[in-house]
Amino acid sequence: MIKQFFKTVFLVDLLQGMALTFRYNWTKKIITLQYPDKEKWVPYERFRGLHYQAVDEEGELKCVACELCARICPAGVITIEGYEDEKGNRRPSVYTMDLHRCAYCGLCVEACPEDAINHGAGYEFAGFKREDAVMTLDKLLKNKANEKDPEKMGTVVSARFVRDKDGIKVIEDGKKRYRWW
Amino acid sequence: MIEFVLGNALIMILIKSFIAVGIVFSLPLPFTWIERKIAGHIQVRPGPMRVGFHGVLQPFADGLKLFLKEDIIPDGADKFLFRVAPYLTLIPYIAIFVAIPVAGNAYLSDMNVGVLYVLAIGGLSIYGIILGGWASNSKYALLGGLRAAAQMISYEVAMGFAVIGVIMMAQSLNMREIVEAQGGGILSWNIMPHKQLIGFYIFLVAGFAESNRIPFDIPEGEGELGGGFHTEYSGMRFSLFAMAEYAAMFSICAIGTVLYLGGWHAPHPALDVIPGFIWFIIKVVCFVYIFMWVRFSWPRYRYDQLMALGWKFLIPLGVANVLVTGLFIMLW
Ligand code: SF4
Ligand code: SF4
Repeated sequence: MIKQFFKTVFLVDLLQGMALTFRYNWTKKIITLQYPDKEKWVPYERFRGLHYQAVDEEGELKCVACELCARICPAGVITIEGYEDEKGNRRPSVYTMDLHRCAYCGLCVEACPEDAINHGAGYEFAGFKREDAVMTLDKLLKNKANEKDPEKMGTVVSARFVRDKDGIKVIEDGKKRYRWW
Repeated sequence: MIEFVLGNALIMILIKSFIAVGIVFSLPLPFTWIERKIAGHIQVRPGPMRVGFHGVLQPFADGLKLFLKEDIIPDGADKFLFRVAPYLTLIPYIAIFVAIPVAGNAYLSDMNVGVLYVLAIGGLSIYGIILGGWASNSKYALLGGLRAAAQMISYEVAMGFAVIGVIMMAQSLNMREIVEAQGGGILSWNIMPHKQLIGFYIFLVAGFAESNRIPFDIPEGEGELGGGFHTEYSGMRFSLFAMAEYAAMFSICAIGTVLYLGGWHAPHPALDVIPGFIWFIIKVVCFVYIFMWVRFSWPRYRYDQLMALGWKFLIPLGVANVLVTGLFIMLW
């Protein structure tokens, strides 16, 4: 009681707080990422990022246009039109995802019998036009670049900020990689 | 020509005033950067990093951005008062620097009522804040203005009492003589416990309140007032308010240095080889660091706590300090 009174009068708790912040001020430790300029976060294995369409060893689409993904999608993101190619396989001629509506629930990936549609690790797909977020089959194939790499999952990689005519990008330069936690 | 310029008092005063105003106007540039860096490091993050080396050019980028913003005046606002309020806030703080002696011979005016002048002019800036809050015709701004008025008036009293102790020690209202009375090493500065430590404590707390900074920044109260008296301001006028806040902090620090930290005197007479104004700047910078350090360490006071602290604790303590100082001066 008396101790508490003197603690209040001499502002002990306030000064303790200031000692702590003083220590933080003069140590170099930093717990944030310098995201676009120097570093970039690679998400974990379970991350549900930008979708991509997988291809098999011969470079053929895996998708058989069964439309299971379109059926299960709670947000009606996926539009599919199928056709039969020369070899007699069913393939999609149109496979469009309007990602504005996507909830990244992962049901389409779960449902796919061919492991054709997948979640990648990509999360940088902000765009200047609405069409930028509407993924056509071509774009979904290109998105394979964001495929998850089990080696890198959950790490911070050093990166570089690039601004050119195609817009802005954060490119890994592979110099350094470390675990955040 | 040189003799004419040096000999002509009016020209010399003009030159000095230009230098002083230039310094006060350019101070917010480095200080916003330092403040954001300190904020960052206290919160274990790097602070501004993108513009220039470790973000040193950030204040220029911010200034440019504010400069290019549209200057919005709300529909129901009192246009004239809304326009002049930022200037009314900023100008008194610039005027304060007239009376502050930076070194033994570097001052604009050697007023023999310097302390009174500083307190009086510093009190004027409250008009800008009240008028800004009133003229915006917005309830948040008005509440912010009212809070600022109540807070600054209460703490002005406490600050006045704190300063009386110093005036009694120096037997003078002249800022230069107050500094000279503290000559001869760190032991004769007014901050020492056998001089005016209590007074310094009251001055410091009242100074936080006068410059509207955390822990007493309830006039801005972004949580509940959305910015307080400058809610409706944008662009250049907003940045004038921000500059006024820095000028206020800086002038409080300069006054505190003069009154309590021995002005331009070195901590030990042997260190007098370093010129006085450098000591002055070092002391002011340390003082400013305390302001920033406190800002990012402590939460904000509640309104009634603030009033209770001012009226029930600081003012009685100030009166007691004056009485005890008088007693000791009589007995010595
Ligand atoms: S992640 Fe969910 S919402 Fe998005 S496309 Fe797949 S099923 Fe639809
Ligand atoms: S992505 Fe998978 S589920 Fe969707 S149509 Fe193709 S094969 Fe079927």
